[in-house]
Amino acid sequence: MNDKKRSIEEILITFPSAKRFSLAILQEVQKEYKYISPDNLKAISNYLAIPISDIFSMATYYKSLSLEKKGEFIIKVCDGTACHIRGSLSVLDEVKRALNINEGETTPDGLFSLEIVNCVGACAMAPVVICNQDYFGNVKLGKAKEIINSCVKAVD
Amino acid sequence: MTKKILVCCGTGCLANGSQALVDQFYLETKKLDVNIIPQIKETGCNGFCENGPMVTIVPAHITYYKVQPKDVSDILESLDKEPVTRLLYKDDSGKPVTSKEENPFYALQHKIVLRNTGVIDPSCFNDYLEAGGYVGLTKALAMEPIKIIEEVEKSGLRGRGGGGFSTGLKWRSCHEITGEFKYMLCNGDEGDPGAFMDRSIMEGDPHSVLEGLIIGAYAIGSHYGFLYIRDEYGLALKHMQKAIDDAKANGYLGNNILGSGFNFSCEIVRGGGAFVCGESSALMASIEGRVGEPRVKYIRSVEKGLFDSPTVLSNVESLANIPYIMTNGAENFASIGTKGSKGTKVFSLVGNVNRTGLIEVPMGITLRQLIFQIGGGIPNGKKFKAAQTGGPSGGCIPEELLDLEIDFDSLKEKGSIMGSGGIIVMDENTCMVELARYYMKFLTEESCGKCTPCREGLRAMLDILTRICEGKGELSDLDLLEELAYVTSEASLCELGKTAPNPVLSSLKYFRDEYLAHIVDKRCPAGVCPKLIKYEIIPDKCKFCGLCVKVCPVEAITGKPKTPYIINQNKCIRCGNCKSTCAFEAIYVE
Amino acid sequence: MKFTIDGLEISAEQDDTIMDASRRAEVFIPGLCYSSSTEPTHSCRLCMVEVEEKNSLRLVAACAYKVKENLKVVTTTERVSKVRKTILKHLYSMAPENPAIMELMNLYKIEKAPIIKEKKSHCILCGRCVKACEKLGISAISTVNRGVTKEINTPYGKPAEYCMGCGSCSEVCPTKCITIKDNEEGRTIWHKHFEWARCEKCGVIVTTKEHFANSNPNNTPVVCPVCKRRYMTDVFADTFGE
Repeated sequence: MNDKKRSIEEILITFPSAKRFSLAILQEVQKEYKYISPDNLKAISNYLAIPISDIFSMATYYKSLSLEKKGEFIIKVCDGTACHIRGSLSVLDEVKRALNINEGETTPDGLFSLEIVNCVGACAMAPVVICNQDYFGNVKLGKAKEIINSCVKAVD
Repeated sequence: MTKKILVCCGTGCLANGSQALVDQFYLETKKLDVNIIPQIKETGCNGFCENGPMVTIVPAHITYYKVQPKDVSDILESLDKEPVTRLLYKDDSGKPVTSKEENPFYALQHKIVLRNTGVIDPSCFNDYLEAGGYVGLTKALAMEPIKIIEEVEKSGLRGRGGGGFSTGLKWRSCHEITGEFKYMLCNGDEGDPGAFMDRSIMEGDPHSVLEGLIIGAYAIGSHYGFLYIRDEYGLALKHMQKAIDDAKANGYLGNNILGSGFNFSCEIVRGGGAFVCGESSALMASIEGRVGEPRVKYIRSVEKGLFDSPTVLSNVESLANIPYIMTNGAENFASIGTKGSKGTKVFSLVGNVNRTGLIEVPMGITLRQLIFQIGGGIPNGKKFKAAQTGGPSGGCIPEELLDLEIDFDSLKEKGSIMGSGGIIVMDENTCMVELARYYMKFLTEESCGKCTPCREGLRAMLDILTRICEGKGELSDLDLLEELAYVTSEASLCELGKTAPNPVLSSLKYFRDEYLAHIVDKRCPAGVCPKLIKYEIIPDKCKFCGLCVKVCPVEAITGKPKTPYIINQNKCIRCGNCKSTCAFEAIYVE
Repeated sequence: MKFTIDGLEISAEQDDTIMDASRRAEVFIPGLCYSSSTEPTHSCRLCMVEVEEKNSLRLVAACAYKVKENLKVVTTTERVSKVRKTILKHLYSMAPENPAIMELMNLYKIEKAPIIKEKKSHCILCGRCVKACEKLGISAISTVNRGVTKEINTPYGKPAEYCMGCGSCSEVCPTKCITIKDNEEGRTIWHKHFEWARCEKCGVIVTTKEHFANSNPNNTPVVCPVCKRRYMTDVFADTFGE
């Protein structure tokens, strides 16, 4: 987790300087830094020779991109239809209470971000909670804390 | 013949721990005699994710469910003996069944698209070849492009992404246009909440999609293609990329494919997380590196699409059908299905149904067969209420239409659509008003926001539905909803907007009484809308165990020893924790 | 090329949309995002009309649909009027009491009640300002976010590096909702303050310093159009005599 992050230049150099790579570059920067910083946004704009407002527009349009730094653990509560009718909103409420943040927010210690996602395609296991890459299916009420703890432990 | 152990490694089974299972199989088979060591294969999704991880033994065709690492030794020991009964699936009568065919979940299925999914190792090129892969492409490359198009037209294949437009006709239109650059695209931006067939196909049999794409490119005269795949689908992206690399290395992609003189290359573009990018013009805008907003399509994309060049966009499932059609012939394909909709359809059967998962059935199957035979009915003895097809762009189908033979046309006639094939089963505890509100909320977030009727129409409909769910609705709201729905569907710029009011219109049509209950009686008949319900404890059933007190997050439940507990309605936030925890069913919703 | 709108024959040029031709012929079709000078956005959807295609009527946006020879356009149908009225109600909700919208509301005799009561910015997200700025090669503003949270702004809502305060965005805005604060010292627009470039001869405001610098060669003296004309007259007088 403490691996040195690639610099923005190192990321940019792996893409041709053409407009059609703007989304791919933004995604790569998001993966590396967990957000798109103002400096990086500008660097992308310069590299591709696209107005900064266009890049900003994309960064705010696509849901996988974020302008604010996300937590180390991103907890996603799926609210796809299958999860929804199996009570995902109650699960969400419970996670909110456990982390003491609302959706779209990050805990003050920078450890957790909470997001609602619209279907991750794991409907057969609804309701689903995802922590970074780990899927938790058939989540029962009262299990939120357990899931959060197990994510943290897995990394420790 | 070497025995094979197929371990399902689809996203669902992986979540249930199939990677540990694979490791355990490798570990324990090492101890076996070299001559009898079975081959272990990590396959794609078998569709019955809820009962994963699944393990299938071939050639004996024994399938085990919910297999854990501790079961591995028993399975290995039983290879030449009787199957391990405790790991078998029990059918509705309680009898254990060995093969998939005997399992009611699989009995009615007919696999064309999913022919290899769950059978081959998706990351192994030779597995695909051995399963008859690329035979269709070889055949196609020996044909005149127009003959391929005629074959696809004859098969009656219609686009599986939702529109249901004839695939052959689309290819023909693009073929007839002269242009130096043409693009062949694959739409893998599956975004319908409740549908995951494209993910499973790309994960479990990526070469079939690729083969379909290459055949399509040859037919229309394209030399470059893109596969637009959701960024969230990590495994699908990985397998698709591997398939492209392997196909290139083996001469199935690139210059002079299989010595035919035909050149075609393709690359993957990862979606940015926008439902509207499943719409063709928005998808193309996204590939071009712009904000994924749809554009007006009075000129079709087969004439002027990606980078203003003639473009064909086909969905993952449509493409996966193509190799089958080329290999087995159009007549074979067209013999399956209904008059207007040929072949099979992959559905994700999810929601309040006993057996959930991914299934492939012939077009024309009834909802009743889907839900009650394959799905095994509604859990906990509850009553079926409706099934939502087509996701947020579709509508609900009520109980009286359970015997409807489903295909593209029949669903449209009833106010829904086929969409990508999500079927969400709802029982008596689903509130149809709240569901309509849910879809409008989804769509307000996913609408690109460009045109007025979609953006503002959705905002207004969500506002009204939220009011109704909170018990603040008025009768005049129903007329307003209908007016807004009409204008949104008529005047919106793209298909997202045009189909967005379907959940509202169909629920108003079939479940108007539920709307009235919310508005007139201020009551939620399904017991869902928090502002209109309350949780109560039945004194006679309460055993004073105190469990509900412990799980209540707001200390709303109080009680003295040996007297029934009481819920303080002013404190209660209606989270439902108490009801789901109570072992004596002493808590009910009013 | 000839076509008809409600039976009235109109001529159109190659590649004209229904809107292009109708505006030129001064036949009224409402439309707030349309402008003949900027790239179309097809966003307000107020210009929906019906066209005859394969013997049936199809609802299309007049600003996007290209005219064909002998095309029949109708705007008086129930369908067109229903759609326009509801869209106008939406626009009214976004920009209550806005003169441009009120004029149309009166024309179509619509009761003035917003569908959603919420304080609005009067911006109807037509996108004309973005296109105007883009056309000038500046692109200081763009659409931000999506869906119901969409708005038009500079990156981060901060002063945009390349904005030169020319005010073109405000000029093309149909609801005149882009705030420009002009006073003796200068102009404030899009969170950015600009100083005036004043005429070296008479001292009147010509434009912002940035705008002047951007649209003239280096070291061009700032002279207002009136003084420039006067200056030119003087030059002529010197050369050719009174």
